[in-house]
Parts: sequence; structure tokens; C-alpha cells
Amino acid sequence: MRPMDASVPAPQGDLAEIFPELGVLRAHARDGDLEAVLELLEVLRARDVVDHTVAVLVLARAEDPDGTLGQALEEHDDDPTVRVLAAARGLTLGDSTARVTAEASLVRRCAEDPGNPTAWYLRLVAARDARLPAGEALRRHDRLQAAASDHVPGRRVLLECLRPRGGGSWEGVLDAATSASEHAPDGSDAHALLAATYLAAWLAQGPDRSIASLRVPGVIDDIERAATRFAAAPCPSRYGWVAAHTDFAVLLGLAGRRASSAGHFRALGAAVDARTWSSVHEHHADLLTIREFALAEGRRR
Amino acid sequence: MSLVRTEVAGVPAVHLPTTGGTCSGGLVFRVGWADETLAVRGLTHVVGHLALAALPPGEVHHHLDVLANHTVLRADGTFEEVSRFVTEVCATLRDLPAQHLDTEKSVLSAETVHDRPVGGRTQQLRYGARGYGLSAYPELGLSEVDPDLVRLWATETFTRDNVVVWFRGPGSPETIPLPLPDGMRQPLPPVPEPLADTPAFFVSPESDVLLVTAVVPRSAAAVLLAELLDTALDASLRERTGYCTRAGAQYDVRDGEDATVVVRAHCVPGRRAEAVGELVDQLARLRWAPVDSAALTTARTAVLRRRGEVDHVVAAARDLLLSRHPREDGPVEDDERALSAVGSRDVAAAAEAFHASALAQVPEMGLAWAGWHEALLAASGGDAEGVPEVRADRVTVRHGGLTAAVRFDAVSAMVAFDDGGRWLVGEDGTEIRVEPGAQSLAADAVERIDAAVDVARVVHRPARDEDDRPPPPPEVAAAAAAAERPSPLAARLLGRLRPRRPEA
Ligand SMILES: [Zn+2]
Repeated sequence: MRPMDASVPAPQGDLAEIFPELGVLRAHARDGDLEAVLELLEVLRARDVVDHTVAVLVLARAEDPDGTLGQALEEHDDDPTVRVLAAARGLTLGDSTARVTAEASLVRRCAEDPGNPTAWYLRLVAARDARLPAGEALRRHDRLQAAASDHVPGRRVLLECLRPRGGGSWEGVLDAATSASEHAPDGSDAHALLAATYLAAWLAQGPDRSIASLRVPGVIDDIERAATRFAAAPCPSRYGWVAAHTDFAVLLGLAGRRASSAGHFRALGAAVDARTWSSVHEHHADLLTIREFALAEGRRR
Repeated sequence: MSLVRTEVAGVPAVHLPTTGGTCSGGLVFRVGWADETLAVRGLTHVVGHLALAALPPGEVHHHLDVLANHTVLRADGTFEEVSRFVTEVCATLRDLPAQHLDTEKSVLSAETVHDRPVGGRTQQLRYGARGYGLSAYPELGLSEVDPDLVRLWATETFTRDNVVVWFRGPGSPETIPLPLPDGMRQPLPPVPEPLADTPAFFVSPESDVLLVTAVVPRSAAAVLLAELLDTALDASLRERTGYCTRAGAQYDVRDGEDATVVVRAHCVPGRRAEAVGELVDQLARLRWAPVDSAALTTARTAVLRRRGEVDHVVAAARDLLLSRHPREDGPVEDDERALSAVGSRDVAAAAEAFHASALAQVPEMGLAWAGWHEALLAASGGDAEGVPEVRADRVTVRHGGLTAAVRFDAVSAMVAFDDGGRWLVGEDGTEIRVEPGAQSLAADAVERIDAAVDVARVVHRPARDEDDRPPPPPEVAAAAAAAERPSPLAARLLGRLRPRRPEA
């Protein structure tokens, strides 16, 4: 393996490191300063409901070594947003009992405020993790859509629920992803769902999968077309572009469309989507080569 | 309008006087199907039919309603017609026309179960195969009903000490003759301890029905809760989403203290999981989202519009029979004054009570994800998987690592086929099927069972065709009740009439 170009930053998958305001939010949370957390979450909600959901997910995964955050959440559980936060942490970090408690709390929140996109998004995550039937996931997604019509992270979870594991089929997921891309406006991160789905279907083939099975020309052309539409306008979601560019960079890189892949790595800079990036850890060497080339070239420009 | 408490020939009566118009009136007896045993399920219904069988045809419009713990007889017409109906029914009950028994039994067999109380297996789980749990079972015992039995049951329960007269209209019911025999006020059907781990659910994939029952304290708030649920479920499960072809809720008075709220929906196949999920969210709305006053007003108006004057009088008569401490003209929970006093907090509290005691039968997905407990269904066995074993005091069968048992002193009913098959239903709802043709049983197994089970709990059935073995469950088979059997020993009759009291 070639030595890494020292001027190229290591992949950064932590959204709180990528976006300063999320870093501030997480720092407040670790300090147990829920007042500041809630205030900042309100600012994000006012800007974009998807930003709010993403911020809640950052807090859901935040480490809490001395239990300050956990204690603060318990003390303020009269606040509905605090209860949603606690539920998000229960779903992300908890055992099966904690997940059931979290879902009960989210059922309550959805009842109190049926137009709460983050609560419905988390209900969808709960459906996925509990492997509830696809029909129930679709129902929850319908409710989410009624609350926020362009919630791409929610659609991403829905597509995960429709996979064969939940009783669906890859054909069904691909149809849904294709349709989501077709109906999305230029610039929408929904265009990347097609790449994410192809990647997931390919990874699901297991360790014996061959790169050749990913390099189906018609398929990759579809994804290139989706990537073009994604690039045709600014992404409306401040945080959503990280996952979208990572999906395109990884899938196109593995499929041998190195120039296209490099374009997405260049747009990402240091950032990557942690989940997608770690899902292809067996192919990091190859992808890092593309990334390094892209970023070094970007620097030269 | 104002109800008047009065007496007719020494029997308590409720009267809603009106100026002019037609009369409605009749009797409410403190006996119903929950007072029967499974082995004679249907007996009260037969007595009710016989009480009307001797009336001159077409004289007066009349109606019989056998409910869980009371039976309503009603006539509509002129004062003279209604009062003659009441007197004639009383006289008939004194001396039931046994010559009509076979006709009425075949009428009952043909009657569909349309008026069977809803609740199904959730009620079996809550109460076992006795008392209110009998709603889960068909009128299994019709074939065993003979002239001795109907006369005995009528003498026991259709008496002047176990009845309230009701009357709506002009005139004074006080003058109506009531030739009923003396007797005793009957104790209410047994109610076991509430289930421990509720809310609870079980999955019943063979059915598209979604069913939730809950026992809540009787209150106007619970009446409105059921009405709000009814509206919300029809809108959300049927109209808006098409998950169900029918969905609704109802409030049923159980006894003096409690009521059963029943939610029932018929899922569209393929949309069952969605229906379950949506139901959970709709129940949560009533617990957590304050209902607005406009919705409360709409619900109250609907309840009042549906409930007519006659319902009000009959409910008052029923409550006189059900209450441990009958109230003078006490307001029932669905009168305007009580309903108007209900606020959104009261509804939320009623919804909380509903949730706390809820028992759900769902077709798919279960409710563990929502934090509900998985209910342990009454075991059943005696099929290909397990061979029953006859012990001194019980029949047992090992089934999927568990042992199901029916104790001989706690048999609710035993269906005895002439081909040797024996189906035992324990008072807790456990079912064991003993099939000498299909299982390698001890040679004397059936003989020992027959010797141990109380004759009064046995329901006889003719031999089945070869094709019918191994047989369908009793629910299905019972509709084919027909066989006449010789009268059981009179000395054992009382035993079959009295459900056992729950152990203290
Ligand atoms: Zn009838």
C-alpha cells in the first residue's frame, strides 16, 4: 500500500466534528445543559425539520462517560423534547427493554403531537430494529410524510425496512428507491437512495460477492444519472449531503467509475457518512486511493 | 322526563310516565347466560323462548333479549296489551309449555350467533370457561336441555324475588297482576381476580379480527371514551386508510361496578400489521392528547340520540338488579347530566384505565414492541402432538413442553361423542381432547373419565363420521347440536345449574 499523502485528512464520520453547531450542541449535552440543548434544537427545527432529526441522532449517539447527560434527561422528563431525546438514546444505545420503553415514549409523543417528524422518524427506526412487518413501517412512514413531506433520512430507514430481512424484496426496495429519485427535485439527497440501495443489496450477498456483480452497466448508468440530478442544484439539507455524497462516492468507486467517485469525495472533503463508510471497510484501501487522489487534486487546484 | 320508583304487586318497578302515546313495558330478570354452565349454555335462552311461545300469535309486538346477567322481556302496544303481556308471561313462566320445547330448541339452533356478546377469546382468557367467559362459547348445551331442566331453571331464577318490572307510557303499572312464584335474588356470576400482567395480547393469525377488551369502572367518562374510540377507529382504520372493513368500540355494563369496553375491527388481509399499529396510536391519542370540547359534545349528542327512553327505563331496572346498593332514581352513566359533567381529563383517565386492563387479540405482529405483555393462553392439547393421560383427579397432556390439565372437579363441560371421543373443557378454559381412535390411550381411559366427570357437565353428541376425526374445535361443532338424550338423574340437576364459585 502506498503511504498516505500527509496533506489529505483522515475520513471524518462524526457529524459533530463536521458541523460546528452540532459540536456545540453535543458539548452542551455532555455538560448536562439541557436548556442550551433545547434552545439550539429549536433553532435547528425552525431552519429545517430534517436538521432537527439529524441533531437528535447526534445526541442519541453522544457518549456520556460520567452519566451527566443521562441524569439531566431523567430530571427533565416533563419536557416532551427531552423525552424524545431520551427515547432516541434508548433506541440507539439501549437493550431490548430500553427499546420498548423508548417506543412507548415515542407512541406518547406521536399521540400528543402527530405532526412531529423526529418522533415519527424514530418510530420508523424502532420498527426497523424490532423487525416489524413492512406494512407497519410503511404506515409509520406515511405519518412521517404527512408531518414532513421531504424527510430523506426517514425514507432511507423505510427502504431498510422493505429489505428481504423484513419480509420484502430487493426488487421492491430498488423500485421504491428509483421512484423516490424520479420524484425528487434536482439537488435532493433522495437521489442517493438508489446508490445506497444498490450498495446494500450488493453487500447483502455476503463475503463471496464479486465486484463484477456490482458493475452492471445499465445499473451504474442509472446511478450516474441520479448523481447528475443530485449535483444539478444545491442540496436543500445542510446535513443530508454528507450521506448522499458518501453513497455516490463509495458505490461509483467500487463500480469502477473512479472519476465520478472522486468528484463526490472531493465535494465531501474530510467528511464521510460513518455508517456507509464502515459498511465497506473491506474495500477501504481501494476507496482511499480514489479519495486521496481526489482530495490532493482538489488541493492543487 | 323523570323515572318513578314504584312497586307492582310487591315487586320493584321503574316507571317513566308519559302523557299519551303508546306503552312499552315488561320484565327484567336477574339471570342470563353468564349464570349458566358451559354444559347447559343456552338454557336461559330456551326458557325465554318458552315464556313467549304460549302467547296468542300477533297479539302484541314483543321481544326477548338474553344478556350476560339479565334477561329483558318487552312488549309495545296499548296499556291493556302491555299489561296483559306481562301477566301472561308470568303465568307461562310458572308452568312452561314443555310441548313447545323441541320446536323452540330448533328455532334456537337456527338462530345465528348475531347477538352473541363480543369479546371472544379475550373474555375466555379473562374469565375462563364460566361466568362472563361463556361469551366465547356457543350454546353448547341445547341438546341437553329437557323439560325438567327448563322448569327447574325457571323455578330458580324467573321468580318475583329476582325481577324488576319496567314501564314507559301513560297509565299505572301498579295494578298489573304478576303471578310469579316466590324465590331468591340470584348471586351475580363469579368474577375471578383481574389478570395480573395487563395490558396483554395474544396473536391469533387464523383470524382477521382485531379485538381489545378492557374492564373499567362504570362512568360517564368511560361511556364517552367508548364513543370517541368508536368514531376515531371508524375514521382512522376504515375511512382514511382502508386497513379495516369495519372498526368500532362499544360500552357494555358488566355489573354494578364495572363495564367492559370492547374494540373490534375486521382487518383487510394484507393490512393486518398496519391495523394493529394504527390501533395503538389511536388508543394513545385518547390517553395523551386532550380531547377538545367540540368532540366531547359530538360524542355526548351521539350517545343521547342513540339511547331512547325505553333504554333508559330498562337500564334503570337492570341497575336495580345489579347494584349491591340500589340507588333511588340514581343517575345512570349515560344520562345527560352525567355525560355533561365529563371533561377531557376524565376521558384521559378512562383511557388510562382502559389501557391498564386491556387484553388484545391481534392477527399479526403482536404488541410486545408497544410494551404489552404476551398473554399465556389457556392450554389445549390432545391432538397429534400429545397423548392424554388419565390420573386419579385429572386428565393431563404434555404439549410443547408444557403440561395442560383439566381437573375432574373443575370441568366446565365435557362433550361425549357416541364414538368414544371425549372433549374436556376446564373451568379455566383449558381444553383436552381424548380420542380413542386416534391416540394410543390406556384401555380403560374413557371409562375412567366417564366415571369421574359429573354427569351434569356432560354434553352428548352422536358418533362422528370417519371424516370428522380428528375433529374440529367445539366452537364449530356445537352448531350441529341435535341429539336428544334421556333425562339425567334429577338429583344431579341442581349441580348443573350452579356454576361453581371461584375459590376464595
Ligand atoms: Zn332467541
